[in-house]
Amino acid sequence: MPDRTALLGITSATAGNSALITFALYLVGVFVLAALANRLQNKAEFASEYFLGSKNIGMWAFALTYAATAASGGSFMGFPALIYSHGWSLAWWIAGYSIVPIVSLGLFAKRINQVGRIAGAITVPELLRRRFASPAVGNVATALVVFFMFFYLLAQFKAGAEIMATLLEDVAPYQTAVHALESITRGLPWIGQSSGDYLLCLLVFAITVILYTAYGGFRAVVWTDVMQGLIMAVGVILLLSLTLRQVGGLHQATQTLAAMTPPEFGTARLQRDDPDPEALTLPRGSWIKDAAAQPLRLQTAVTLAAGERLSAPTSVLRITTEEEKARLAPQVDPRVTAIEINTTAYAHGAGKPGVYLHAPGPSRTTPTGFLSVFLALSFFAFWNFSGAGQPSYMVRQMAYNNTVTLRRSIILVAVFFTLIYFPLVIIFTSARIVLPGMEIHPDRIMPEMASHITQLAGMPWLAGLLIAAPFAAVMSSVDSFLILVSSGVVRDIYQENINPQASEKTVKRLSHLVTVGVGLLAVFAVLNPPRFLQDLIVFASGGLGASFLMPMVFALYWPRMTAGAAVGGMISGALTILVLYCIGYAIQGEFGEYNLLGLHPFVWSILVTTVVILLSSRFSQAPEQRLIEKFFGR
Amino acid sequence: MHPAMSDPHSRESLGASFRQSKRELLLMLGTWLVFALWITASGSLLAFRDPGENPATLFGMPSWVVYTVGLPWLIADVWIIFFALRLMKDTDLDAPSPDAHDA
Repeated sequence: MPDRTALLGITSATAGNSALITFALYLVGVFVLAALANRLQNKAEFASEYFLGSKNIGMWAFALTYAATAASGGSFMGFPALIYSHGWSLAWWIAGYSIVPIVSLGLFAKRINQVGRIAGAITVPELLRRRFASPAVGNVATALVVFFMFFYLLAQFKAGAEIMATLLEDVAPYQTAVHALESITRGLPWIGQSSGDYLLCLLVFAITVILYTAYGGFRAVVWTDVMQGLIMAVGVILLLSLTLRQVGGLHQATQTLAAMTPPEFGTARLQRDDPDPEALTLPRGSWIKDAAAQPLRLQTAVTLAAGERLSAPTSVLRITTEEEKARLAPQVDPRVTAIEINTTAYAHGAGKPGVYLHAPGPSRTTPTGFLSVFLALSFFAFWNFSGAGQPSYMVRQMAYNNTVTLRRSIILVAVFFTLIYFPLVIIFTSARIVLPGMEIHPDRIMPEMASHITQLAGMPWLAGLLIAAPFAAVMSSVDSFLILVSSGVVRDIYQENINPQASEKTVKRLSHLVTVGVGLLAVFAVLNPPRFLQDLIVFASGGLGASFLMPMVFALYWPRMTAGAAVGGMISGALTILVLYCIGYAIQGEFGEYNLLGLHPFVWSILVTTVVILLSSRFSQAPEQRLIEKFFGR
Repeated sequence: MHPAMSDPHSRESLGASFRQSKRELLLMLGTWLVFALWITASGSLLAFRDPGENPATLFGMPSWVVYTVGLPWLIADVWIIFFALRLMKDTDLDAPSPDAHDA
């Protein structure tokens, strides 16, 4: 009879290889689309084609590039992590997406496309600059796009690397490469602090996405978004079906979840009974036992040298649900026992069965729980209006070809979001049952679920497709942001301010160079990323929404708005977000927002920018009549 | 210059396409308000009830989720389809502006 451990290893490696092949096919598809898009660049004016696809994007492309850009790494990494950690209250938290298609697209899409065409603009700062005939407006807009978008890029790069690391962890050549890279980078400042697997995956992910974006431009981004959007939808539906089969249906999953109580975080030391033990390494995530044979999970890898019987204190997670304890018993490593255990219960929800089923949901740090009514309302506003205020969405709304495309796309985006977001809540509340103890690394729950569920279903090759879904989401966001930052630097800074007469050849070279440069800079910055992806994503999207939403609404719908009000509105929005995050940092001691009176900073920024714009416009000279005729006379 | 455009605040100074976009904007803001009220009211009343280990379920999920999220989501989809097919008007995006030569 073959050794069970060895057999499991072979199965796992085979599964890893199958997933890898599926995943590799997906990447090949991405590069083929980029190559096709690149060929079109030679047939059109470079800047308009590279940054805006010559304003000729059709229904499927427009709807799916919009939806795929919205469904970023946050949707497939950060959001599942929050569902896993806080339960069904996340359904309420995300409910705003039910009307995002009508509010977000309806708010701007028709006007911004029309004004963009009148202005002859191909970027958002360029549109604002020409709408107000003011270089200052364009320059402030460019600076804010580049600043906040850079934080967004960091979060997406981290997500891409995490997904890839999960996909490849069982592949032998990958492990060899990881060890080789670790031996090279160990001891190096900054880079040496990253783990080898994260660093390798970050590099591979970044090189892939930077290359195809730089090579194919906006059209490549849109076409790959279409493919990626379809993969996301198919991936989520498949994962939903496999997950529900695994947990015995949704009703059974809800009943099981009702008995669950939150875990406890803390520290323990590991003891071996063997009087002359050999060297032992327990990977991160290993299950161990305490003296009463209750399971605990290691949050970091622990190594005990030969002869060493007692480890230093290490971080552990203690499971508190009785049913899970019994289920995990066979997975516990019998070689060590945890002693001197010191754990802390959740601030809200500890020992309360049913806490994952209702609001506010359990919270490790907040005594009032995860979701208050005000916070839910804030996010209902945030998803709709912050989404509308993102320059990456605005620029897409400048690219569709006619209003028939717009109307049909609104329907398509609505169907897409319905297929993605609600099923994700079902999948990752059920994930608590399938994969207990993932609180040690919540951002990895999506790829872990994909690998685990497909292996249980006997379809390991499918893991590649399922993992390609979040990977596609991340890629479709990164490419969009890269092209946006690149257009900000090349079009809005270089062409508008430094060299308006630049030749097409110079613009082309600079565009490629900036796309690659910005990407590499983001990679360097994200070598040591923050723990929760969603924090960075909410900060960056909140900052962009705060800076651009109300200035753009007034710019498109209020003829009386002045250039000074546009500058004041953008700066006051950005400052509101920054100040409330600084206060949050000062109070909490870690990166996070300060919800003044329970409302998210984004809501405050909307109020502040609205007041600033109205007052600035009223107390300054009226705009030129020719601008009003030009942009509002049709 | 178009004679009616001397006053930027008058309705006559604004183009038909712009006024249509503005009407659609108000409709969208109304949509947001209605759904925000529904979801917030329903969530406030139902989502905080502690079900203990015997939760009330509908379609297999906690019943408050159906009333606060599932049902509004379904109705939002129907409304979006109706809005996009019936209420939203088409506009010629490339039509020249009154002073297109000034672009």
